[in-house]
Amino acid sequence: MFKIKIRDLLYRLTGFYISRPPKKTPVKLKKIDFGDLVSTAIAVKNSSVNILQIGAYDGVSFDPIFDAVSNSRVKLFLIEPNSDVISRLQQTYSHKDDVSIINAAIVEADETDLVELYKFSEKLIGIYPDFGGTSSLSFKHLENAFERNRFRFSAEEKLDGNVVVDKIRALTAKQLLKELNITDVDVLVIDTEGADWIVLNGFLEAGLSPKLILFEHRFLLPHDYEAALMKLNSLNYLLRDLESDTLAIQSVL
Amino acid sequence: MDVSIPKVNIVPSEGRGWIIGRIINELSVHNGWTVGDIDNNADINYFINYHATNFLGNSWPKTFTAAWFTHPETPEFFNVARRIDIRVCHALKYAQVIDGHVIPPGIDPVFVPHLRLGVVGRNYPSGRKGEFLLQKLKQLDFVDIVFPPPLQSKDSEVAWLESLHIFYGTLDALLVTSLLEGGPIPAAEATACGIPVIAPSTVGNLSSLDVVDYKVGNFEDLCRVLQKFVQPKFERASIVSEWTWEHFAIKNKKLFTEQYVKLVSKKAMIDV
Repeated sequence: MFKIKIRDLLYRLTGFYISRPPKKTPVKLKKIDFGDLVSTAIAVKNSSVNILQIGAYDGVSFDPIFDAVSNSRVKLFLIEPNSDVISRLQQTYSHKDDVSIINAAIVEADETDLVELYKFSEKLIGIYPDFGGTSSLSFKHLENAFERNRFRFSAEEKLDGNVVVDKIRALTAKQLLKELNITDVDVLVIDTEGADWIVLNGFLEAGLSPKLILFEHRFLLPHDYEAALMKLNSLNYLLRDLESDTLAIQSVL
Repeated sequence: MDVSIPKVNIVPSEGRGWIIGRIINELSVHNGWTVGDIDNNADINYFINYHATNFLGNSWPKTFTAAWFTHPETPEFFNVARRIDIRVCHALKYAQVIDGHVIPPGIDPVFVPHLRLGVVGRNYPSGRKGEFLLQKLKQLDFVDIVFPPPLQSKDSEVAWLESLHIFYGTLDALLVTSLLEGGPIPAAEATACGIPVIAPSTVGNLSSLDVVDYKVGNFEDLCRVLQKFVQPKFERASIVSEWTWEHFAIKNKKLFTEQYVKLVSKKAMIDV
């Protein structure tokens, strides 16, 4: 009782508890390479592994599956909205048979056949090649990317005049699966510059149940990321933060 | 010593300041729970919040575990929840997902309904402004009477008028206690700002405004009106009336006692 009173008194005087939290640094989890996981999935599965990649870009740059799939027995379904890179994507996988490439964007609702895709100008990408992957259905996304990288630009470089708008084909997740004539995939990879939750949810709602999912979360709004985590958890996925992306592995237990 | 009451040790994720520290303090002070690094002599190690498990690595406690879960900002929320025996949540929506128990933190007693009533005008020796009502209103502990800044405190009359506009915006209502008026002007100004006016409609031009009426000069009737006016605030406040720090600590203690008995029984079954 005496101990509690001293604690109480100290708390009232200082506002803080007596014991300090242990001064330790968080334990870092073992690094996971998504490509390794895909390679393992390919190795253990007897039949061909189906992989659906939304936002495939050129198939190589910043690509988490290229090394694992380029010389493996897989069926690839690659979706990329930016028509400028489709030929490069085709070239990347020209040596493989089971590859379907579609130039389209995945949208939430079946309301339109075409949507506007914002992308940086060829001139800007010529100077900063990493900007090539920043095409998005949201102009705001490009604005944010420009602001984040402002320190790299000269004073004369402005966003105005450096954004190009394309009209591209729009498909819902359901329409895409119908067009590809598939009902499920083993691996789903999503990198859609901020539209990742919309795309992921579209496929989950369409009944897709991939064993492995990798989606980019770094451009998601907090409540969208929360919704993604809640949904995947409810579907018995084990989740892991891989810095910019989230890995979801279907639990077999 | 009652063996059914568990000895709980809190493992904090952070130190001084803000709500996590407060939660830890309240549980420590009210329930006598210890705070510090993992204690394997305790019955339950309680991680507040669940991020405190980030420091563990392979040194997971040999005791039963509990954790305080706020919100899923990263996958760790779910990963930690799977390993924890007793999951205490702030929000129902997350408790439903991780099979947790909702115990909202306490709210300090300073947060109670008040009516912030503004009075604008001068006093007169005749008492026609109803100054005696203002004196009597001091009896009502839920009423705060506030006055606008004086004209002399501002650089210009325009600046003062602007400050008046801001002043009206801070009020629950403008109170007019006058017994005799031509206007009063402030009632019209408050109305123009969309602020309710509590005033006797028989005075001056107040019948032309949509005032909350009471009998002129009648303190009892004014009290009746103010109590009715403040009632929605008390009704709203009643939603969280049980969210005190004492309740928070008691509910935690009750939950831990109940769950501890279950966990011990379950462990005994597994051991057998």
